[in-house]
Amino acid sequence: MIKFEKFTLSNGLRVIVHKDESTSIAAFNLLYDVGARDESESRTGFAHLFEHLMFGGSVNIPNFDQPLQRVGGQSNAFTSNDITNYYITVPTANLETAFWLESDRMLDLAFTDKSLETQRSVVVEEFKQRYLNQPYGNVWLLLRPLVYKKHPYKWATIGKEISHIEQATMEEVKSFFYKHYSPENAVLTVSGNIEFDEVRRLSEKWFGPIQRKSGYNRSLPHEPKQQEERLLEVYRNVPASAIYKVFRMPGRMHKEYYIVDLISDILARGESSRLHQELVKEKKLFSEISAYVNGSTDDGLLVISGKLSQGVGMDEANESIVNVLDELVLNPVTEIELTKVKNKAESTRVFSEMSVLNKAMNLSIFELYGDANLVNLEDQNYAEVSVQSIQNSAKSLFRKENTSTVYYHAKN
Amino acid sequence: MPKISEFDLDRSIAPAEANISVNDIIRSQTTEFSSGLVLHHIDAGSQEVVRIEFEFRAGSRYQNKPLLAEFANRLLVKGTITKSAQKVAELIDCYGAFLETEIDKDRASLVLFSLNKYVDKVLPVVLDVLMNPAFSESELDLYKANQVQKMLVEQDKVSYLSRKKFNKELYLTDHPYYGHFTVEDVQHINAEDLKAFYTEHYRDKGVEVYMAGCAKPELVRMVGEMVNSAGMSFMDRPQEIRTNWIDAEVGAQHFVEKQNALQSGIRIGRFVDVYRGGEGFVGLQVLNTLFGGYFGSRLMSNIREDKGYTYGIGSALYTCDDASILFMVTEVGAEVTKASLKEIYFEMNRLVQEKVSEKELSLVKNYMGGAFLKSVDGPFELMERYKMLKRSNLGYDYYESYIESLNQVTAEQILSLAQKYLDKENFLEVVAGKNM
Repeated sequence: MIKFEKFTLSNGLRVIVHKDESTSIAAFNLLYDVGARDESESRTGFAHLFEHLMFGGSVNIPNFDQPLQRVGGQSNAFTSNDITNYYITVPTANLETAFWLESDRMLDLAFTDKSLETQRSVVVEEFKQRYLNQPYGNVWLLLRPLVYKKHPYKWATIGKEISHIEQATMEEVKSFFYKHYSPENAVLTVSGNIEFDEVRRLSEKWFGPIQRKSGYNRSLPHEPKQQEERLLEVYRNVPASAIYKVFRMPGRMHKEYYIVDLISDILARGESSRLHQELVKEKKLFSEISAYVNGSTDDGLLVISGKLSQGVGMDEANESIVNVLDELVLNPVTEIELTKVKNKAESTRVFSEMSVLNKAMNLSIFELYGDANLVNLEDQNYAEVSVQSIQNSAKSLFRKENTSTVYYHAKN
Repeated sequence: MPKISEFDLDRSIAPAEANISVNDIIRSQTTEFSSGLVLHHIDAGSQEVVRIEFEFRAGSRYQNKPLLAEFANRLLVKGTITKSAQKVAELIDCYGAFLETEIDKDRASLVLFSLNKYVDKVLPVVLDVLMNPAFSESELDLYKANQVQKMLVEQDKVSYLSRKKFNKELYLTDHPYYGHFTVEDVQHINAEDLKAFYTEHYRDKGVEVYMAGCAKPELVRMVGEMVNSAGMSFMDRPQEIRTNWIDAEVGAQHFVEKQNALQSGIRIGRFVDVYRGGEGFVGLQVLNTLFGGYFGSRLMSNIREDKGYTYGIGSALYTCDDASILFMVTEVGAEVTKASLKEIYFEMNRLVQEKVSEKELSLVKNYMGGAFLKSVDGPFELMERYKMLKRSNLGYDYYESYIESLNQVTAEQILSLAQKYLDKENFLEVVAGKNM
């Protein structure tokens, strides 16, 4: 249970405060409601490129990092298809520095051509390092457009292609900022050994004067229901063939999310899980296998991926996974197995709440979903999942026409 | 005081900064039990969870075959004499617990993470794993096959290729840390090797037990008594003395070809004859941070933030019982490999030639002070610090005076440390990538 208080500034910025007396570090988490799904298809990778630029100085403060480092703080950020999240940890006594820095880069930007040029290169190198110069690194660039035909989830956060990043102009950067980096489009969470009134005072002082920018009304194309099984085969220079199977599922705030999350745990969490036990240990068809849900806000994905053991054929590997999935469709899981994955979900949450930063991130994200207190209902949502609901979800999830598969063949 | 309005808020001025100080560092306590068990425990944090670590002197330095120590560590959890690997995994998983293995050059561990309420259920399984591991042929064969494939995947990465070559070249072949292996070495490990390694380095040499989290006296007693009666042997040897094996030849340059690589993996490093608690150690930590140890470092500012050659570049000071290594690592665009090397050495040389400004030095020290505060925040972090003290034969005064030690580092010291350690000629350089 994470206790918190919240308020909203007149400019629309939502602020959440969580007190944790056991720590001497304060976490400051500012989430903006903008992700790769808000990009235009001809300028993908922009939300993420913009995140890099946010470290390039703001209207009154030429350098973001140095003043923070000077007071013992650290900062970073990440971008997903749904959100852009900036976070700072700092010795509690120097918390105000975080307010000063983050409010100034919400107020207005001061990016130079030089910083745009440099960060374009940095992101291009990131593109290479994470997606192109790694074995299997490009698989999400293949999977997304296979599953999504209309919804902007069809491109990855890094972007569809390098040229989109290389061609980004300063004008585009500016209009992106005015469109999305507005106080009513953000959620701030501060956690640590701090008082609510102090956070309120600092929020009013630093964020209060910031005006709303032009509004953005998200209106994304709905992804139509998948009607057919999809298969993509590619041949690459990788040491072992791999298979990726993805199934469309409801978004993060849907009740069924919890059911499907537990299904993924039954399938592949820990060594006692079904896919691991049957396909890695007993049949030795895979050297490794995993399953997870990606937790996206709009309709998301259950992903199963595995690397084939030497000498195993792709169809055989595929069929073996399908058989394990069919088992879930045909027969109810035991109460013991369900309890096992529920216990794991609970302990994962309890361990994650050891960190003030994790707590701050979760509060921001759930507030964006509608109410920060939803974070405290997670255990209950998992607890309510029944044997019957697992079987029902498996039935709708693992239909052929809800399946997209990539055969990632090793050349030679 | 007048109310602050938008107009009198000067955003160009930073808020007042407070000096970073560490109040009380929560210390590890020890409780002794009849069998000789000394349980180290820290009670801290807000969550009802606990991490229990069983640590052995069973790192890679003790192996007589490549990969043996790692295989023994990983296969420890793959079943006991009476329980299959599947059964062990189930018994841990069903209580939402996590059982992990860890290994480095000196030590190997089995680590249990559990909610407090289930410790009494999962600990007996862990003790069975520790006392009666099976090391079965079938588990070994499966592990071998899967490891071979993982290695082949790794060998496709320039970061791995440069790291592996670096480690091979850094140590002389008779150095205890020389851990080079090939894919073929996997086949030479058999179950008898594992059992012999286990007997010598796990069962008979003794264990140290560390518990951190919500570790109230009742739980300490319960855990202590369960471990106490398991029949283990406990560590009765003092910490080994450093042997200072620094005699490998460095200063060489190596290239590992990887065709069609879009980026090159670079690793450059050397031994340094300093150790935690010794002369110059904190100074060298400051020098490392300045050079490549944080986001605003010289390497990041130049090679990422100015040139855009890389997504990330960093340096680190790595210490183990018998060696300290200063190294830097990055992946850069293939076409800017040479240009990046030039800038890396340029930054090294700049530290050798020019004294760091007071402004930059104080920024680095403050940054490190904040990072230190973070490193003693939370029960698991506190236990890591305690283990570090123990293996370095240091007391808590080392951490209690750490901020002070940081503050005493001067620009002159940094310059002389740079002159001593940042000479290009003594660095081992490895580049993995395409031939340009």
